[in-house]
Amino acid sequence: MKVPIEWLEELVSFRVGPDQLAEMLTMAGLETMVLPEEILEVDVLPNRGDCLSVRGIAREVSALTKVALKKSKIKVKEGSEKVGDFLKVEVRDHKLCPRYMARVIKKVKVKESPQWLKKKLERAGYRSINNVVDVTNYLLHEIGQPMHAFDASLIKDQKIIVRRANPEEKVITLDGKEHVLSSENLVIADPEKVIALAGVMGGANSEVGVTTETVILESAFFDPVSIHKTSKQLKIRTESSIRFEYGVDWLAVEEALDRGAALIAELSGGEVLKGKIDSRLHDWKPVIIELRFERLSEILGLEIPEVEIINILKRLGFGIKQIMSKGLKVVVSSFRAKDVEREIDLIEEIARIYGFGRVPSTLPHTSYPGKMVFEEDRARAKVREVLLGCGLSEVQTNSMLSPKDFEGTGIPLDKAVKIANPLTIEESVLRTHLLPGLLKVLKHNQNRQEENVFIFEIGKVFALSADPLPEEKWKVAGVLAGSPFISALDKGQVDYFYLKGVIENLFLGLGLDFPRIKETDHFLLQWGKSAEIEGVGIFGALHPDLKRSYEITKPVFFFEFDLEALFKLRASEKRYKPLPKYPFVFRDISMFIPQGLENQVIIDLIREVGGDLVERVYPFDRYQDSIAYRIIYRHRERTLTEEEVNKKHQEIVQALTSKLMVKIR
Amino acid sequence: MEERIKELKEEALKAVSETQTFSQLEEVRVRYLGKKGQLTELLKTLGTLPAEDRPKVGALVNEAKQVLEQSLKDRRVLLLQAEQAKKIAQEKVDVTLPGKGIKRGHLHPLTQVMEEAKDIFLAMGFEIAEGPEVETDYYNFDGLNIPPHHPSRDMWSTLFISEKILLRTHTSPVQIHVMEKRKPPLAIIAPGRVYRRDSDATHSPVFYQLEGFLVDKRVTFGDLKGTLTEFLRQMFGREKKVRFRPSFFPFTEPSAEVDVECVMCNGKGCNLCKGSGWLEILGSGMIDPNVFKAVGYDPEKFKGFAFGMGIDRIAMLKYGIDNIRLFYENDLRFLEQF
Repeated sequence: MKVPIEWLEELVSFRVGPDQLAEMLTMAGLETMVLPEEILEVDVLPNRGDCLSVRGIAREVSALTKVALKKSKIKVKEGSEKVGDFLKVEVRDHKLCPRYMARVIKKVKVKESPQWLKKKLERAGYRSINNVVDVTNYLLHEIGQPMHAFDASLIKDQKIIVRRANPEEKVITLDGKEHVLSSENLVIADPEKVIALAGVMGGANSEVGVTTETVILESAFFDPVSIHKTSKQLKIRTESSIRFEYGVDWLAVEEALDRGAALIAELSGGEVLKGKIDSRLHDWKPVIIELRFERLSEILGLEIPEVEIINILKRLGFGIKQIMSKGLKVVVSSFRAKDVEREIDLIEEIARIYGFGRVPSTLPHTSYPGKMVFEEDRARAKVREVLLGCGLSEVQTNSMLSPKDFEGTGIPLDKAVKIANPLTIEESVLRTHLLPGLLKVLKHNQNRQEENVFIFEIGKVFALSADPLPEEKWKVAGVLAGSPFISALDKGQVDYFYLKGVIENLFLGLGLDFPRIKETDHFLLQWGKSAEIEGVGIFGALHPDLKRSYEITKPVFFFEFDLEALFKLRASEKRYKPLPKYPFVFRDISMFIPQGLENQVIIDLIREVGGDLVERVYPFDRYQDSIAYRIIYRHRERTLTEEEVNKKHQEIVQALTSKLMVKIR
Repeated sequence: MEERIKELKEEALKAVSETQTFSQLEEVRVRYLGKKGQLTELLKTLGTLPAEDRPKVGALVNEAKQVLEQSLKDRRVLLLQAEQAKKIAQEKVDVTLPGKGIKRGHLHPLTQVMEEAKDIFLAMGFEIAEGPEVETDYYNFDGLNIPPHHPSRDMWSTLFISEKILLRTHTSPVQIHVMEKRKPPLAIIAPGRVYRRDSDATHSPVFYQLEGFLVDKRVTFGDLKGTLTEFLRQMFGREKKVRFRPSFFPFTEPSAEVDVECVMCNGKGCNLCKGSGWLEILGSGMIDPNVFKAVGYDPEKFKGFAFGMGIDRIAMLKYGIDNIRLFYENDLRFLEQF
C-alpha cells in the first residue's frame, strides 16, 4: 500500500519526518519502508483491512503521534429528479450483500482527469483512466471503499439485480477475460445479463467510456468470504476484491458514495440525482466490549495506568461507553469491526500502541512436570553419530519427487501420495523411499568430479493407507560409493563388507545385538551381494538395472532401515558380568568350504557342539577356497585342561566334517 | 713392572675407544680381562714379586682393571645409543603424510542449527513433541483459528493432497495435537519439516521449522519476551539486541514478530537487513483464546505463548548462506564446510 506523504498530510498533521514515521508505524505493526520521493510503502496484514487506505494509516499516525485527525464535510449538490424514479435495485441475496447503495449522475462528460487527480493517483500507483473511474480509485485509496461506475445506458431497464450467478453463466470482465461462473459467485446484473462480478471486477458490457452520459455509482458492503471464494476460484485479485475480503467499513459505504457522486459531478459537469439507493440487511450496530484491567495485566505482565488505556483507545477511534472500577465498556468503531471483536483484541491494540518494547522481559516462573526425554529424537541423534563416524555425511533431500524418480528406480508409484497442486512435476509425488533422493545427490556430486560419496539421510517416507491420511514412517538410508579413507594412499574401495561393517557398528552404537540376516532378492539390490534384516530393512550392492538407469558405472552400496522397527529391537538391559579369572585356550580349524555354505551355519554348528566352553568363534584367515576359524575355549570356574579342550575340539571337527561336509586341511 | 701396567692400560683403553661393534668390544674385553687376558695374566705374575712390592703393584693392576671395566661399560652404552639412533633413523616416516582410517562424515548444517536451537529450549525445560507432515486442514488451519475462506489462509501458499488433506505449512498443528491429548502445564517444542508452494533463493518448498509453546495458569507476554530474548542471545550472541514488533497471526493475540540485530552490520544497516539494521527471525504471540477453545481449554483459566521459526533462515543468517537451495542440493563441497 503506497502512501504519498502529502496525501497523508491532508488527513492528519504530524511533525515527524518520513523515516521516523516509518519506524513508528513499523513498531506499531505496520511494516513501513520509505520509498524515494516521499512515498511510504506500508505492508498491511490481513487483519487490518482498515489500513488499506490513506485514512486508515492517518488514524494510526494520529494515535501514535497524538495529533487529531482533520475533519472534512461532504456536501452533495443534488438535482430535482429522484434517483428512485430512474434506477431500481433489487438485492436478492442479502447474506452475500448486506448493503448495496447507489447514486446516479446525469449529463456527465467523460474525459481526462484534471492534472491534480492524475498526479495524485500516479504517485499512489494507479493508472489514470478517465474522470469517472479515477474518482472511484481516488476514494478507494483514500477511504478504502471500492466503488464501481456503470454506464446507465448499457443497463437494461436501468434495473440492477444483486444475485448469485446461474450455473455456467458467463461474464467478460473489464480486462477482456471471459469467466464461467457458478452459484458460489455473487454478481451484479440487469434483467438480461451479468454486468459485474460483485466486488471483484466490472463487466466489459457496462463500462464507462467517452460516450457515457449517465453514470450509476455503486458502493456496497459484500460478504468477505464470498468475495474471497470468487477471487480464488476465478483467480482474479484486484484492489477492490482485497479490500472486500479484508472487510470494509459499513459506515464509509455511504460516505464514499456521497463524496464520489459529488466529485464526479464536479469533474464532469454532471448532475447528481436526488437521494440515494440504500438496500441494507440491518442498520449499523456497534459492538460493545468489556475490557477488564486485571485481564490486561495478566496477559501482558504489566500494569498500564487507566488513563493511558483510555487515551490509547480514544486515539485509535474507539468509544468509551462506561468507565467502571475494574474495567471499561468500549465501543468499536465501524472501521475496526472486522478485527476487534473480543477483549483480547482490545488488549492487543493497547499493547501495540503502548509499545511492546515497554513490556518488561521476564522468565516463566512455573516448573513443568514434562521434561521427559523424547526417545526417538535421541535415538535418531545416535544413528547420526554412528554414521558420521563410519564416514557418511548427512544430507537433506526434498520429500517431493518426480514420477521419473519412481520409473528410474522401479519403485511402484501406485502406493505413493500425489500432490494435487504441485509447483512442478519434479516435486509432485511424496517419496516412499529415501533412495531416489540419495541417488540424485550421488549423481550431482559425481557430475562434479567427486568420486567418493558417502551419504545418509534420516527422514520420513509416505504411503497411501486405508485412512484418509497417508502412513508416515521414519527411515534412515545411505548410499556409499568410492573410498571412505582419509588418505588416497589407502587403495580400498567400498564393498559389501565395508557396508556390513557400517551396519554392524550402527547396531553396536544403538546398544543392540546384531540380528540374524539373510540373503535377499529385493528389486533395488543385486542378488548375492545384499541382505535383509527382517522387518527392519535391507542393505547391499545397488541393482545393476538401477545403476544403468542412473548412468552410474562404479559400485554403489545402499541401505534403508525403518527406524521405528530398528528402535523396537530394544537393547537388552545392561548387566555387569564379572571378568573371567581363568585364561582361555584357542584352537584353529582350517577347512575347505563347499560352495554355498554360509559362515553363519558354520558358527552356529560350532557353538551348538561347543556349548558353554566356546566363548567366541570367528573366521580369521582365508587362503584360496579354504578358511580358518579360531575357537576360543574358556571355563568360567577353572582352568581348562589340554585333554578337555582337545576332546571338545575333536567333537567340533567331527561335526563339521560329517554334517557340513567340510574338508579339514 | 709398573711401567708395563701403565702401558697395558693405555693400550687397552685405546682399543676400547676404537671398537665399533659389540663383538669388537667383547673381543677387547677378552683380550685384556678374559681368563687368559693380558691384565689377568699380569695379575697371575704377582706372586713372583718381592713381598713388599706386591700390595703396591696389586693395587695398580686392580686399578687398571677397574678403569678398563668402566671404560667397557661406557663404550657399551655408547654403542647401544648409536645402534638405537640408527634404528630410529631407519624407521623414520614422513609425518606430514595423511593419516590412516575412515574420514569422518559431516552433519548437515540444518541439523546442526536445529540441534543447537533444541538444546537451548531443552535446557529451559521444554520437551520435544512431533506431529505428521501430512495433515488435515483442521489441524493446519481451522483449529488454529484460521477459518475456511478467510483471507488469512492466503498467508500460507499450501500444497494439497486433496481438498481436506494437505502438507502442513507450519509446525503449529502440533500445538493442537498436544493440547488435545494433554492438560497444562505444558512447555513443548516441535521441530520438523514443513511445506509451502514457494520456490526462490530464500524460499524452498520444503524447509524446517521449530515451533514452541508454553501453557499454564500464569503466563504473560513478558514471559514470551524473556524466553525468546534468552534464546536469541544464546543463538546469535549475548550482545545482540532483540526487538518485538506487533504483527498478525490468526492463532496468537497479541502477536509479535521478533527481530534480532543484523548479524552482518550489527544494526548499522546493510544489504542483508535491507538497511533496517534488523533481521526478522521468528513469529510469536500469546495463544489466541479461540485456539484454547478448539482444544477444550478454558481461556479464562489458562494462558500461553507460542512461537515458530524457520531453521533454514537462521542457518542462512548464521553461516552467511545466500541461497536456500544449497541445503537441499547436498553438494559435498558445501556440506564439508560444516
